[in-house]
Amino acid sequence: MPELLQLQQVSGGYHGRTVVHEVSLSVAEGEAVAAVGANGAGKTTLLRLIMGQLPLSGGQVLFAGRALGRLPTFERVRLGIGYVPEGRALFPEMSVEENLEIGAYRASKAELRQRLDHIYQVFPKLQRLRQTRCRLLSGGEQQMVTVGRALMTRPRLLILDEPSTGLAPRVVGELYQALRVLHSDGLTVFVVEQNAYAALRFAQRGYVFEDGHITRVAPATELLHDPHLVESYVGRASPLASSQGPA
Amino acid sequence: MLQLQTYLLLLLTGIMWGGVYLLMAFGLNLIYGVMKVVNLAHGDFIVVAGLLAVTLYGAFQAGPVLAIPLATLLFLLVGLAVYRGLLAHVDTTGSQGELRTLLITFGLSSIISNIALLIWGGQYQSVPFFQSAVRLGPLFLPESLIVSSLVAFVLAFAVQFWLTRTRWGRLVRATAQSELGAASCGLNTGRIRLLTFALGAAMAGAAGALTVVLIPVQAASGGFVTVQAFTLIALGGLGNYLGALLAAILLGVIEVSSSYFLGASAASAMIYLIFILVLIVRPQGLLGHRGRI
Amino acid sequence: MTRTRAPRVAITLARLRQERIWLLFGIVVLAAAMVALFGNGDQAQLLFSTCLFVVLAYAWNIISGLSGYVSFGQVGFFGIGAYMAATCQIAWQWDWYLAALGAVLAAIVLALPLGTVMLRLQGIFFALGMFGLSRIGALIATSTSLVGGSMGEPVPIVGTTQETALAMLGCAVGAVVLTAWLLRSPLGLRLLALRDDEKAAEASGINTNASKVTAFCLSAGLAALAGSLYVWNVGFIDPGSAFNNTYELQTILMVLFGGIGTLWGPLLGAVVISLISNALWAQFPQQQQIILGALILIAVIWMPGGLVSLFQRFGWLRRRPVWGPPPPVEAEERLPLFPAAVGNVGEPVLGCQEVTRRFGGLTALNRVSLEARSGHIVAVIGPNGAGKTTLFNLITGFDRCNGGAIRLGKMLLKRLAPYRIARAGIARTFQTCRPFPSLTAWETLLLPALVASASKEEAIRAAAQMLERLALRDQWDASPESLPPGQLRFLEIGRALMLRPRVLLLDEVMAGMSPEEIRLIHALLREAVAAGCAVIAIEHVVPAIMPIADHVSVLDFGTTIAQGRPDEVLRNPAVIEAYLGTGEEEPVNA
Repeated sequence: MPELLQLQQVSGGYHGRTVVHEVSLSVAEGEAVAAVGANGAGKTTLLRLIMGQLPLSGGQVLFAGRALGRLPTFERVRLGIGYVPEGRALFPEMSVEENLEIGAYRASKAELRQRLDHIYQVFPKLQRLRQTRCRLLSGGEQQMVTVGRALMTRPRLLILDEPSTGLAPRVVGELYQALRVLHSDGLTVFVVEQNAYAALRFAQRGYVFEDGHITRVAPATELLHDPHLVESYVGRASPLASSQGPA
Repeated sequence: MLQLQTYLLLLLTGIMWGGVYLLMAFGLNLIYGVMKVVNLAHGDFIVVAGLLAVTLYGAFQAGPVLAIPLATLLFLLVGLAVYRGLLAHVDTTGSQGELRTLLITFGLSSIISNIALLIWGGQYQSVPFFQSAVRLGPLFLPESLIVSSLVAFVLAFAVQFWLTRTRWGRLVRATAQSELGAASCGLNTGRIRLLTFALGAAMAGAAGALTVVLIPVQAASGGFVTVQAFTLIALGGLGNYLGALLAAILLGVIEVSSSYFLGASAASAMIYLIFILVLIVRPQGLLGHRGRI
Repeated sequence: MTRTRAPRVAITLARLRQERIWLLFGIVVLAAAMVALFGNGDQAQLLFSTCLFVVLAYAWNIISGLSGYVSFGQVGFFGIGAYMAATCQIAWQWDWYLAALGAVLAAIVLALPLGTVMLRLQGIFFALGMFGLSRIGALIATSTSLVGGSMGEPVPIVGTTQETALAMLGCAVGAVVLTAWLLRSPLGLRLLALRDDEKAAEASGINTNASKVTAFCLSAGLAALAGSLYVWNVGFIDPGSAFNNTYELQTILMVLFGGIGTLWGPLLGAVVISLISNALWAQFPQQQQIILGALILIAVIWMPGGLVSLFQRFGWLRRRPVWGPPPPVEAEERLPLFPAAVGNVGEPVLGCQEVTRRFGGLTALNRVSLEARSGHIVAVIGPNGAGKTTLFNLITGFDRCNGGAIRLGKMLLKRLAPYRIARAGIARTFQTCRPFPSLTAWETLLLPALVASASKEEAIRAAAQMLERLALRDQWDASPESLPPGQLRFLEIGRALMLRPRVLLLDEVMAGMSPEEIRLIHALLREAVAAGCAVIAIEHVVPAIMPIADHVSVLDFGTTIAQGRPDEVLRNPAVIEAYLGTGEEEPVNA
């Protein structure tokens, strides 16, 4: 399988303080990959580095074989990377449909209609809410709009930053169900999550993140049943980790 | 009966003056809404455009019909140049970011107003156009005020339409509401900021060229105009369009009636006083969330 | 022995260099005094106007540089001073120095209420609000007929140019010395801290409002002094020159050009720009303002640190840490962390009853109850977004509850300012460290120590001991920005402990720490607990806190889903699920 996204020894952080240390990972065309880890492990920073929101201090990011260098975020989106940022970054005073339309602002009218219909197919709930201002939506609905908006750019790769944050378990389930459908239609997905169970059950392959380093990479099912996964969240030798793994 | 007539006149002229103030605050509001930058040279843009109109009138007897498009175009270019040459180089991140942009536009304001002083001197000047008064039943209203406020309200609705109904306007609003979101839709947000700043400057140019028929200007009056415009958009809630409209009418009525009852210098003190009170009592503006671009 | 000698030599050298600056300053002042005494009128006038701007620059620097509240209307106090002095001289025939005194007092009396109100504003709002105030001042001066109205009026008592220049030189020296003193005083420390981070300063027990207002009054008094001497010099008063916007512009330019917030920056900037603009005035009288405006642009874009930053690159003109270096701590005089017990072990100190906090539609905390007992450690765990940090913000007064009550002992903590809560005995750390980049490690600890201690000596001793405990002694004069993350955390914990709190709130302090670092924190916590301090620790790294925790409370979606003894709670399946999350409703079969 050709690699769509490739990170080679990527390092970076804020104000000269390195948060992500020499991370190498890859996402193949058509694959669904998750990177899981506890709060503060550097997952969001990693995505900001991939999207060009932060400058790399070392290594490089390749997309479809091309080194992205210092390309600004919007150019990366135009190349085909759909981005669902942390905290959603919606346009709060605009309606759902307006939000979606801006995702495809360069498309023709007919094309736009077609993409909108596709989004409403994936998230039927949004069709009912299309005239509602995003500020008034619930967290789960907002997350759907963000994912929908990213899909409107017709990405080859969809990158999601902690889509489950602040969502109730049932809503998380709905969201991942939608991602599963999209993936089975051929979309490549890279998701970064604290909610390891949701992400790993969705993904084919998983990376475990600890303190800005990748400490493990394995097929998702393997990680899911690995008692050590708990340790990477709560640290070694914890009573929680020794309690026979997940319930 | 006479009493009622006076009040009615005050109210009507107040609303019209409100329209004029709105026109003068428009560009400032747009730039703040998108870029979160207070352009302290805004008043100087308006004043210079007005003085330009005075010169055009002196040279060709040309009224606002010629001066407005010329001033608009000129300040569009000025806006482009200022953004490209200055603002794009300022590090706006961090705790000192806001201070830096303020100081840049502050320095710019000083440069512009003093160049204007060299060219046009320090006396108040105006364009004698629309000098007659219009009779409205028992009321007399100066024609210049009617024209200016009409243009102002029309422009207000045009901009509102542009922002909400057109493609470019929507992209500008999107950038204003979330720069990260806009970038993740593939928008070149840097270009949108450039466009916004140029547009805001152009609006200041148009406003200056028109309102000079009503308000005589002098090279150094830019600072007052900036504060007046900032008062209005602060009262309306920075970057809030509906709020600005409401604030404009309120300020117009207050100013007209205080200068009628208390005198002109008290009226301008009133502006500052309201400004400070608004900052302290209601920093989020009259309407809060509603009506943001 | 050689290890300790090396830094001592360096310190002595640094001190010598510092004294040399003052020697240089003295020589310059002496030369200036010679100009005033023996120079001609023009030279004396140039000296006067240069010194006038030096005073104005220092006045502006105190409020805008040291406290970080940029004002566009500080010249208003110059105008008030000028008018007050003119009134005293015209109406009551006071001598110039009495008039100056009156002007300064009037400005301070006026600045007190104005500052209290205006300093609630932030950023652009404060800057423009001050501009508006100074315009109101000008309008009042124009419309009252008391002293000449808009046309102005001559002032009877005029000094010779030489006299006024000498007096102004004295004021300029006074302004420099005042700033130097400020930068080495507790007030200066508080100002620098609140400039960097007002919340962190409040959490360290600093009454930030009082400090800001004090700085505002000092700044106003200094500007008014300049105004009164100005009137004495020109012998005329009018609104246009008393409330002169150009002065404001020039002052700001000078401070920026020299280096904002520094001791020597305003002096350098004022002298250099005054001389330049004097030369410009002779050559291009009309373009002078334009060139000054362009200089502002240049200063902001290409020289953000000002002239001083060029020197600082070589280690000159740097700020000297207050009361440093810390005195050595001998083994026999080592004191405990807490000089006296702060509570009886087991006694409840802090109680949260059914605390609720909503943000719009989101309920961040829903009827959460928590109790902390003296000498016990409570761990609060839970996933991202569970409301843990919100709980801390409510306890420490940075945020207000929508329902429920929080009590410290018997005292209800409702509507108490954060610094009062900190002084009452609740100290906290922040999830992402909030250091004061302008202060050294030593000063960071000194700041809360001065709040908690009875005397300066005691505070110094306590802070020095804390540096020792945190193994930061060798980095006592390091800026927090240069410390590695682990030590930065230590510093933050140390800052909280310096308040000798009855309740210590730790927000994820052990995330990303090495085992040795965690051991050090455990030792500190054990000592605090032994002295009766109650600890509430939010943690993600569960094993880091479990060995010392007495009680665990698990939050998820703003509600307490489990609490009790650590081993019991951590076997609870609901807790495991909350921690790792579930994607679907059906449980996973492991």
